[in-house]
Amino acid sequence: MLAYLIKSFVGAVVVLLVMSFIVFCLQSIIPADPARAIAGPSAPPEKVEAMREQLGLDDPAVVQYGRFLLRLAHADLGTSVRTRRPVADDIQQYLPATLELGLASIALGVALAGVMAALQFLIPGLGGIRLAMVGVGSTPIFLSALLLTYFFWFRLDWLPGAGRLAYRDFAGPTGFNVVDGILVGRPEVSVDALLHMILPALALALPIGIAVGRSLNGALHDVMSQAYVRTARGKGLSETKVLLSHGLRNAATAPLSMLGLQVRLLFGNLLVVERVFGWPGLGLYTVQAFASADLPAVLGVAIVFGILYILVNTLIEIGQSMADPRINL
Amino acid sequence: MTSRRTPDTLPARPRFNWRDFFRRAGWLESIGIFGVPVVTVVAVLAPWITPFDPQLRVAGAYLPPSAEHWFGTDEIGRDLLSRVILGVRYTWLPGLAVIGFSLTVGSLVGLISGLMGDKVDLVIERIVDLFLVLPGTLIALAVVASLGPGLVNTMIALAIFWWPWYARISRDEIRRLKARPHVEAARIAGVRGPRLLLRYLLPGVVPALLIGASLDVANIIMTMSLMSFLGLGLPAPAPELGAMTSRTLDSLTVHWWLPILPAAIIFFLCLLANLAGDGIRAALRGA
Amino acid sequence: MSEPVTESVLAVKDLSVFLSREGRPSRVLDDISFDMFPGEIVALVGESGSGKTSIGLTLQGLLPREYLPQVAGSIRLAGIELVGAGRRTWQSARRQLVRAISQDPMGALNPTMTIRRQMRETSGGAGGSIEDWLSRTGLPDPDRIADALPHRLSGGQRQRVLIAMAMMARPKLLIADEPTTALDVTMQAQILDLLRDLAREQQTAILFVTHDLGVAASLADRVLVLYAGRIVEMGRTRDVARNAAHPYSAGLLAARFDLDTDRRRPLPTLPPERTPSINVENACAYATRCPIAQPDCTAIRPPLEPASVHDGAVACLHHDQTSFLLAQRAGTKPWPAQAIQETAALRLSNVGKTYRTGPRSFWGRRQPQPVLRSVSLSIKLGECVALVGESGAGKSTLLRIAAGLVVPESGTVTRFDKLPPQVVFQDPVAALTPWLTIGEQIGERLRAVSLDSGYGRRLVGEAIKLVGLDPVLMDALPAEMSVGQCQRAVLARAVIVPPRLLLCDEPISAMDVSLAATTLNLLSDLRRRLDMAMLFVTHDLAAARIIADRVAVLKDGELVEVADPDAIIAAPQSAYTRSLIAAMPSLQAGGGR
Repeated sequence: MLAYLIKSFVGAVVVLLVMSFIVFCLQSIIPADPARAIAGPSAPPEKVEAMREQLGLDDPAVVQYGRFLLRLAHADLGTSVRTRRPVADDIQQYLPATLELGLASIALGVALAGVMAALQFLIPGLGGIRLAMVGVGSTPIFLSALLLTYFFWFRLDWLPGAGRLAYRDFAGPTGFNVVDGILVGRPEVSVDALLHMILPALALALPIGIAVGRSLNGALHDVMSQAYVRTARGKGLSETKVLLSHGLRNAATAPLSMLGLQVRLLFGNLLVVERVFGWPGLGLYTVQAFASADLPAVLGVAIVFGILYILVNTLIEIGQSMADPRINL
Repeated sequence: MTSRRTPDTLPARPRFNWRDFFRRAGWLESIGIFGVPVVTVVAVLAPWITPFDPQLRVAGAYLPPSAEHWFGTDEIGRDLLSRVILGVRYTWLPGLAVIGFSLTVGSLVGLISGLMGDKVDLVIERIVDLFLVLPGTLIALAVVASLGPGLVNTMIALAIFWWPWYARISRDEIRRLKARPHVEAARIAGVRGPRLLLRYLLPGVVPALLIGASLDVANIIMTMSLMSFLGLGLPAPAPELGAMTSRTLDSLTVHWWLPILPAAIIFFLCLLANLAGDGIRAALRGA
Repeated sequence: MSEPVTESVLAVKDLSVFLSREGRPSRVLDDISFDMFPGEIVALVGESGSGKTSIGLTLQGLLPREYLPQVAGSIRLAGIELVGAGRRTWQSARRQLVRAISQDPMGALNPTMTIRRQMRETSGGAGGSIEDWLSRTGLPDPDRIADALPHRLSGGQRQRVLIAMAMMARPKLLIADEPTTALDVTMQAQILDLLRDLAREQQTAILFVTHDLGVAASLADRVLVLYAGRIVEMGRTRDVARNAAHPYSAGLLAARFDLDTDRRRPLPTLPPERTPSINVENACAYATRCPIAQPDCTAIRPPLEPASVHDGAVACLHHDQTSFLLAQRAGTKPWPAQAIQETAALRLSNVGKTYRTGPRSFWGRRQPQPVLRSVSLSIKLGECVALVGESGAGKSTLLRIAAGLVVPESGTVTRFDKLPPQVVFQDPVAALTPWLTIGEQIGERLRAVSLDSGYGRRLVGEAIKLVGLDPVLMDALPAEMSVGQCQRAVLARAVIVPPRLLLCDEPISAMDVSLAATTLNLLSDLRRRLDMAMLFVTHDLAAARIIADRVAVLKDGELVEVADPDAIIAAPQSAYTRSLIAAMPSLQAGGGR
């Protein structure tokens, strides 16, 4: 276990270094000269030169990269061109909304996967489900988001289709509205936050549910025809018991890997869904940053998402080793 | 020890033929397998087969779908169907190109890694591992955002994060095959070098790569349309499907066809590709 | 039959089973009837595909659902009718009455659950704790084993765990489906002893499914011989082993070889299975292979009637002819004498090899584990040496070193000539490339000699004929051929340019008795005809004795004995060889009471 922790920490550091290096390179390729950008278009050359010196732009690349890493270590992600605030502050402000939505959609996606695999498994000849799964799996995220808002918000008006909360100036201690509503004793806020979350979370959960569900179903099919499952049935265990205590655990590895893969895609999908639903999170922040070529903001978010992704991967590996004790961490 | 096998019975499985291939694939999936080349032809011929000039005003603005304009017209009266057909070209062909490029590079790297073994394999595997754990789509977004939006940049950024998958597949397949008795038997029979590679190893690697690539077509279309939706594709006048949806998002409640129909076409393309991928997988795994 | 006084524990009557494959139902079991009594061991003998495994699954109600099984007839287990019974009845029957142990102990235990938890799920019987049961099956250190995960245990240990798990429920009926095929010979004998003791001790009836009449004879009270889903003969083990009434049983018995078989002449074999072209409904299913078949055999379905030669029953219209058939077999021509030269075709001196397979250290590196320690062995031109040993003894490594596939860490390997030795692998199907025709693959060896293609094709045709295949198969793909045909094709590739040395890696270990005998005959014939030296690696001492001029016994990477086969068997020098010989099941050993 200790060896695993050391190994995964080293691995995470390596991945972060590579990411930061890519980000650093991207920053340096930008055709515009940052010194001139700061000094202003009409500044005399010597002023620009002084600015260059001040920014350290004449130092060798290695030194610049070292300085870049040092700033990263102090959570200094530079200043946003668009909001004129430190990117770190912006991220701190928008991260809870995105985390809330992301976690909700992962939970919903896993639940969907379970239901889907169970349906397919319990009713074997159900070709319709297979087709539906391929269909939903082929839907681009913006189409499902659009259709969900169009029907459930615009047409039926069952659920809110834009924004995060109807209470405009509510601000809780944690930034997670559902939790905050309970914490400050305003359950109606929590309920409203949940209602706002349903459509975007569903849009994000559909691809997760489909992919993980298919993988779970395939793995279950393999496992349930294994000899040890026959042994278990031969003991006179009920089919449910066989499925739960012998089937699921042995089938867990592949769908967990698929979940990791889907979380990787979730980051991209978050941008789209937050844009469609006007969800005030990091995704929307990034989309706006794209529109105004706000590079520091984009790269800052990329690094934060990268850290989250490493975290999720580590959790998934731990989950896999819990399911299968043969995997040595 | 292997399990007991059937004794001297009749030939178990007939030779490869297309009828069996499609039977194993399933009828719905077979539609996908036929559909993919059709879409490719449409994409290639797009500029010549659009019913109207996609760049010119041909009717009133915001006309809903009708017999003359199947998909309606857009905010300045351009025929949406013509723009969508051209959009298929801008999504489908680059998607195939990215797959083709990644497939070539990836399988070559994988082959080298799998064939050389030892140190070379170790180094290549570490690099591939690293690429696979990086959040690819995200970095691709960042790369395109930094280099500036555009089709070529999108394609480059995607290909960079796509090839490692194929490297992994072909490397694992080669290593699996190399350990199989029939390859060893061929080697003992005196087959060496390129002949061993071309006749005894590659034919075993191709199905896995084909399955992987065919299942990836939908993924790449999805990712590219996502980037175009986020404004990272071709600049404004170009009819890119994702961008068309994104630009008309706000008119969803008034002119639903403007954002929905281009997105629906992406759905249709992905559906065909997914069905084809599933069909090819089912047919080749069975063989 | 054997104990008419006691109530039968299992009564199967007119049992028929259909399974649907790709939408077409096919009859797997056809009108099966038999009884079993408490404490009785009944062997169910048949080739693969005879339906013997299906009987076991039917009795447990575990026929795979995807084949849409249809079961007709009657199964009464401890008085309870199971055909047509509901799910709950089946579950309680499985919980209390019938248990099974399977062919593959490696796969039969849940890999992610400790032995203790898997055994706790049984806990039907009142007697004894989990540890008690584990130690009763002869497992040392039951505490440690109970807390272990299956992958930490050896095959023999797992099979014992499975037996303990099954017997703990104190079932009335235990189905043992080839429980020893995946185990080494010595382990096999111990497991058979254990089953015999448990049956006596607990009065459990055991249905022992096997393809090997010898194993059946050493264990069972009665035998049922199954062919194409029908019982063709049943009777007391001793009777059937001595006086088989059905030509199929007789053929199986004749094809079986053990330490007493005549090794100077080819082994008798069963004729290979042919197209089941006749309407089997109203015919004897064995008629197409049967050497004494008459025209009426394909017109009437022979009923299971009392046999004339023993107390059992037989389903053959002409079973009075079978004894005649047995007598005929002895007359085959002996092998011609083989000239063995003094020059060595292969000489291994002080060969050593280690693999990194030990436990992982903190840094993930594995400890080196010696596989071969200083082995010296030479094979003379024209001589056949059999290398005998258990799994893990290093046999395969030695063969791979001889083939030049593995480089030894120490010692030298000298071969007679430049032409590399050819290898015959264990699994003939896996040894052929699926996408190339047989002819193409055999022809690869001609490329070294570079001939024009027409002449090459003729040579390939001749090689195919030499191994007894139809030259038409030259254009066949491996998947279009049977296992036996694939084995011949592999041999054709090895001998199209006859090598000085042929290396065989357990070529018969996964084969039915008859196919094994056929393969041994073919190898013996080829090596004499083409004057090849041969290294024959096997875990089967009987096969080694039949084919080899000398036997080398390998244990834990060291040669413990090298000598003439009959000398080794008559006077084994090492304790290990003695245990190997003692463990061999033999028809003469005789089971029963």
